[in-house]
Amino acid sequence: MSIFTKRGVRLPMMKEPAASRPIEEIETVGQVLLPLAVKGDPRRSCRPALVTYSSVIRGQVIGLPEEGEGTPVISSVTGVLAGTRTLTHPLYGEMVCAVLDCMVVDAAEPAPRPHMGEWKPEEILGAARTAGIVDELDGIPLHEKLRAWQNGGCNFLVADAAEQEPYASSAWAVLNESIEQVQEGVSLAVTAAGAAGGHIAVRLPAARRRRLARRLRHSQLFQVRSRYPARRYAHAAEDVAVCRIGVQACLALYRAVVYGEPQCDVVITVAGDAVATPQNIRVPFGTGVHQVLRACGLSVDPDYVVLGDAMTGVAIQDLEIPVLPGITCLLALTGRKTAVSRPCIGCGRCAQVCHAGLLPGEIAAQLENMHYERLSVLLPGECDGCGACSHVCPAGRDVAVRVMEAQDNAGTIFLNWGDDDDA
Amino acid sequence: MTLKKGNAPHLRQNERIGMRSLDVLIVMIPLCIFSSVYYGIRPVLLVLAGMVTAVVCEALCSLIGRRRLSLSDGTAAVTGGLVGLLMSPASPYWMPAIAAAFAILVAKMPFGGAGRNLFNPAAAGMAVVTLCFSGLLFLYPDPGLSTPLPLNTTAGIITEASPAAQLASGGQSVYMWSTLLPGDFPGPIGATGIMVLAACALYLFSRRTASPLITLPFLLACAASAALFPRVPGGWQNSVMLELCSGYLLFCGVFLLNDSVTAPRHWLGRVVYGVLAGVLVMALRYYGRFEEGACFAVLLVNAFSPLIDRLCWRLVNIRRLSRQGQKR
Amino acid sequence: MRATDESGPRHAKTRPVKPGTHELWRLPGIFMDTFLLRNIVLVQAIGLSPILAVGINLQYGVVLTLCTAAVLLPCSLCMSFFGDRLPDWLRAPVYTVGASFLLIGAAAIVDRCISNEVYAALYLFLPLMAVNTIFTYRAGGFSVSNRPAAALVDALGSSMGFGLVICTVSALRELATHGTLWNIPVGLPVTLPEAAWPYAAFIMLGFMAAFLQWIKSVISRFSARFDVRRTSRPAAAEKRRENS
Repeated sequence: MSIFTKRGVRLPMMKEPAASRPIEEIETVGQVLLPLAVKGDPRRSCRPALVTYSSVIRGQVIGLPEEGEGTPVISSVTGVLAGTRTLTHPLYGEMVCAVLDCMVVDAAEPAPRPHMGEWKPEEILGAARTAGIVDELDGIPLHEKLRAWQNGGCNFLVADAAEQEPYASSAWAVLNESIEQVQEGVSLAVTAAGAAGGHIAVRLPAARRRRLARRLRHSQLFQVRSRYPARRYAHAAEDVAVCRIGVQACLALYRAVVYGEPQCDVVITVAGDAVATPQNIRVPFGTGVHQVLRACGLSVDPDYVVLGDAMTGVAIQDLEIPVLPGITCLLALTGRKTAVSRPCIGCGRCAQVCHAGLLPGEIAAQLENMHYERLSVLLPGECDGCGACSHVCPAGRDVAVRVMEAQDNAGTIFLNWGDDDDA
Repeated sequence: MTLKKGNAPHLRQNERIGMRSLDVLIVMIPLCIFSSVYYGIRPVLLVLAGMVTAVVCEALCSLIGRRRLSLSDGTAAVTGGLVGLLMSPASPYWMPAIAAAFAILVAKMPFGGAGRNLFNPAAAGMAVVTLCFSGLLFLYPDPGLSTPLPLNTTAGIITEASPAAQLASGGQSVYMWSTLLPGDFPGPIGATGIMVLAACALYLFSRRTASPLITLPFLLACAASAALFPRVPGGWQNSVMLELCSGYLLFCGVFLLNDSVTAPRHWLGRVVYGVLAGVLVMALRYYGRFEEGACFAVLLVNAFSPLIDRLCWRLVNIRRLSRQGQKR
Repeated sequence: MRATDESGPRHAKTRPVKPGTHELWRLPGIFMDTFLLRNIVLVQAIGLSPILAVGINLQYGVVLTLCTAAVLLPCSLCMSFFGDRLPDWLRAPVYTVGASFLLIGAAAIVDRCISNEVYAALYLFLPLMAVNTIFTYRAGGFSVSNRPAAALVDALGSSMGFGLVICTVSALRELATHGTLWNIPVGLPVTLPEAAWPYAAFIMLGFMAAFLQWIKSVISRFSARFDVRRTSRPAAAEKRRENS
């Protein structure tokens, strides 16, 4: 019965065939754009460490942080530094990028460093910083996240491989390839963050989950619920702070600590009905979207190229935009189901599915009627933009977009700018 | 290759407004069939008269307002059909037409059409017909007659007091479970088939077109007031049975109150809305002028629906709101 | 906080007067403003109760209009003469008392000279006119801050506007209820007795208000071609947001 349904939506899963294929390596990259400085973010501003036209090798530092605690920028390819360029990235905003002409895409395995037994939290944090590890879930440097949690605020650490959105399967592919190393990475992150424990959250069919669990020392897999978005990533009480990091960041942490290897590439899922061979592909950071699409092949010209997955991704128009941490999925779609946007009929489906318990339709209505002063009591700030409300809306309205706008407008009070009686 | 802009999510569920209307139209079919078993083809024609009038009026309004023709969402047909189903099988054809025309021309389109109307159009149409033609509206034919009703005239149709009229006049009711459940009693076209209505309700609940959070509290409130203040002798069971089955109370709970435009969105708001509507319906039966005033009750709660929604939302989120207040 | 300064001329009060122009120029504008464009009933929703309750016969409508005018004109004149000399809080009671004295006279005239029956039908609502919101509105607003001539024209516009609405509504309702007009049978085939109920008047007022808005939108669309300064609402909103 509809009233007893839990909040959230059931999404169609379109992870196949990418999920069952092995991870491909990209062959040609061309130019790579790496962000040196993000406008308006002092922690992400680096100065170039090299002069233009000097050659760089993979893993070499090309940008030094202005502040002592910042993350260095590390070259993801071997090539020549060709200069800098300013561009606007949909996730980061305006930023200054270093342009590298790539010569070789190499993935040389460095010699293993001797294992030194127990690692101290400071050593792990330092390794994460020098390796330039960035969490692929949200694009925040891993050492910043871990340091914030170190001072309290993290009781339990979860490596999030749930991938609830329809297309992404990169975390699963990474787990499939090297779950043992990911598990080691999780325990390193747990040590660094001072958490009580940690595990890997997945959402997989039982057979696949069992196959993965067999490769682990002790059971460290947690199945999240099948409704999107998931709310619980661990069996934990309300007051236990559960923190999430990406699987690829865990893997990179392990490699950084044990092998001293910098994080240079990311596995992303390329899918959508315009892609010839949907697959998971490992690309160096900064590779242009067009290069990635070319590597996977396009069967037809896409109408939409989406940076991110189907529920939260951003449709981009400029294919030069580099692939940076923060996304694990790239879609090329020929068309999409769009309804003609009709007025809200108040069916209440958005309120039913909202996992934050908000009234998205009401927020949108107040925003459209310009009753900004009424927005704050509707708590639009608690929305995390999962997009479930827009997904279910039978009138085909962009409810989630309106709610995000309301977050910006909630503080403004804006009254009586005209008499109601004049036309 | 030009790339289009588009907001997330890029994947939408397949539900459409038209499908919700279609659900309601589908469940009207068994109700019509049920009625035509007793009264012949006339009830079907009455429902069609309401539907056609509503659709024509909506098209007319769209033309006058130079708006895109909005018939495809099906709300006009639903309104007309609901109005038709609430008529007596013996009423003249112009009566559903007037109700539907009023519903669309006054209660729906001037407010901005589907999705923007404050009041349920079908309830408004019924209210006008109840006020203006109360003498004709509540004349219900006897379902026990073996011959179908004549199609071209209303003269000579034998009418009988409905259970609602008997309740209102304070007399003893002759109806029992055995006659009420199969619908063998005089009443509106769509409101006598109690079992069919229950099946329709279950279908609509499962399709999420109707919400049990409105219907069940509504019925509970009606039953509670019927049990507490019985109008007929024979114990509270008898009173509850008669009050729930007579008139178009059940129909109102399933269809009119579940009109999603005028109902609250919040779950607690829906419960309060249902309870309030139930209390009002019963109060109008006890103290009202007419034997059935459910449409007035619906209009009244419709007016309160935004307020209920807002208050209930604040009540449920009182902790979150105070936390937000502290932050400032 | 009003945006009249940005969104062009809205009201006669704020309409800029060219220096040297005689004040008589403003008078037709003021009249049209209160008579139609800012109609006291349809736009400002003042004085609804008499229309709903006794606007069922054209005769009653005309009598009520005349009474309103008889009270409003002298009162407005007084208000504009005294102007700010009376403090704010004293204005409403003083003018209400004055209006009720005037109404006693008007009611007596209705009773003696016009018709006893009409007085019998209206006797409850005539005194109510004295404490009607129209007076409080006028006393607090326009008349006090304007010259006598402007106040007089404004009062005339108000009462005529009120009269226009109540006469239309009552004529229509009389036609529908009894099939008569000014108690003379017109010979309609069907009558609808329920039109005498207040809800019918509400519906009529709603449609009349919508009609008025439509006329105004047509006018504004027409005049927008000549008035470049007039900015659309969203544009004004944008502007304000930038300012703040």
